[in-house]
Amino acid sequence: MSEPLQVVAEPASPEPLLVVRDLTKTFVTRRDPLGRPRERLTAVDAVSFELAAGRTLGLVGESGSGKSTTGRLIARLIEPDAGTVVLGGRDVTAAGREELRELRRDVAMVFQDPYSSLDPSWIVADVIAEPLRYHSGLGRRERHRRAAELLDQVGLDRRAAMRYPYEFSGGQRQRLAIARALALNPRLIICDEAVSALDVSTQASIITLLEDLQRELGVSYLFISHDLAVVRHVSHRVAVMRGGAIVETGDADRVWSDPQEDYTRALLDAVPRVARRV
Amino acid sequence: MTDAGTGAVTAAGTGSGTGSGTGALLEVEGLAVEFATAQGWARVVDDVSFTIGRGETLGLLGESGCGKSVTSLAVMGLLPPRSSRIAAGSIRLDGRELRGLSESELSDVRGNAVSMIFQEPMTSLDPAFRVGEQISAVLRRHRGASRSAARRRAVELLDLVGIPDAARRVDDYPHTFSGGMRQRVMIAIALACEPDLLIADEPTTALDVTVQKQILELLAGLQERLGMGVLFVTHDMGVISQISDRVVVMYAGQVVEQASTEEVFWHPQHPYTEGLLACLPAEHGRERLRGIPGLVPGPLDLPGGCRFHPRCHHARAGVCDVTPPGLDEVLAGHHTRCLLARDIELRGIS
Repeated sequence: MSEPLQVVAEPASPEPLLVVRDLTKTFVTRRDPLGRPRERLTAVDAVSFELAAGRTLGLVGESGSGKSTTGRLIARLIEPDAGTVVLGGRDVTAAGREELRELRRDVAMVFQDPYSSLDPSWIVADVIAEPLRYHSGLGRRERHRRAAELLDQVGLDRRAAMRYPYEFSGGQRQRLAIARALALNPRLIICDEAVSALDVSTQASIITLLEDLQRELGVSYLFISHDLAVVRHVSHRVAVMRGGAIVETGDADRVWSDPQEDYTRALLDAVPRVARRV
Repeated sequence: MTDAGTGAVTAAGTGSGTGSGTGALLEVEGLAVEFATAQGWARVVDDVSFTIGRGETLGLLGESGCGKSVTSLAVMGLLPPRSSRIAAGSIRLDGRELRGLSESELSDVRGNAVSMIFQEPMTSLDPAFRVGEQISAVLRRHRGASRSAARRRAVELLDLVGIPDAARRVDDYPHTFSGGMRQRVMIAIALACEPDLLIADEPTTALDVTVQKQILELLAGLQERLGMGVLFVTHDMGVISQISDRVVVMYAGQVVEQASTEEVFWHPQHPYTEGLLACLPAEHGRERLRGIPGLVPGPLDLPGGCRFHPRCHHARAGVCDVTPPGLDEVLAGHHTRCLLARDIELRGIS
């Protein structure tokens, strides 16, 4: 599977799409009576990695490892304490208001629970074309035309446009969330546990959809998940996080079959595998 | 743990409440459960039968909405009373019929002979009481234990489930425990009265894999020591393959396949099971995941014939959409609900 992805999507320039350097974020976990910080937790600790265009980097780790915070920092939903995020040659971390607005077109996010990220009172066409309201001069009619295209792309019937999110199953809602993420033709989609809440049969079809979209559009994924088997399947490279830091990075198959770090080995060893028994 | 040892003898040795022909600990036969809807009673569990022996773990596998949790709640007598009903079938524990028991009789069975652990321990633990008090409450209620004996036993139980420094931790509140430790506390409460049957409904689903592994190992070890039967309910094929002796696969409220764990995963006889296995990323290579097209039908819009046929790529028109299949034994000890079972070749785990 990895071959066709490489052939189609490998860009002419050797410059990676995303370069993350020494990204660090601490949260105040306790304050004294005067509100001054008393205890801090380093959620992300000097994290560095690169992601090429059209490729997938899997970010794995257990709860509290800092993988979701890393995703949020890259999308600049939260501000880092130190480090840089460079996307397509532009520094996300230093971007001012206007520049950030442009950068926001390039990065989209898909979360675990599609229902909570889709406004239930809007029809689907408005939900998935919403990013166009803020980032394009398109009127509602044009936005709805784009919504219809997006529905095609994620394998949903165009008639879905006039319905409400609650009328859809979990897997279909995740397709809606992906359609919305695609609305502005982003170069990077951050998938934060995007298939974790789905039943296996639905999970398989969403994974396949993401793979197909990457092949067609050349989009890159930062695929954040606790599920190592899924991460290995979708990713070209994998970074294993623990306690805010990356403990091992490498080619997905290599990390899976020949982990170098004790922690990675323990993590892989704990994965219940059907084929392992007997 | 001498007490635990005694419990194992009571459970496995005496074979007390006789009466059943098969000698199985739990026999569920032809179970049908219905829920009230605006359109009348909807049958969400239909003709479900299985048995669990002492010391045996039965895995109940299925995706959301297949009826696996409703089945386990029915066994526990925990279905919501007015909005649901057991429409048919029988549930016998050690030969004793549980269906039709009064609420107080059921509550007696629950604490003593059957207990249950759930996915989210924090919602089952009372945040306002120390964990020791919560374990003691069970022992005082069901065993009439004195305050001091119950407390001693609570410490033993916390120790049994691997909570470090149990004698001190017994006085701590639930929020001071991590997710995995909370699930251990839940297991301690469930084991307090040395149940014959433990029902575990997705007990490790919310946990990290390394913690999950510890809890699964704990459960397996305790079962060996205590000789309990375990009904393990989950959607996770990896987990179920590790912990179960036999597996029951449910789809749209029915049992569609039942066999030993090895048989179900290596030689599935139902296309739904085959489809589930094809959804798992392979150990090597990156074969495109096949998935299962379409959605699980709701109880009020079940297709005619085989309930799986609209999603089944083996389905034959004029056969599968017409005749509802029964659960047949196609190989020794291997049951499947598929009209084509003898004609088609299915792929298991390779």
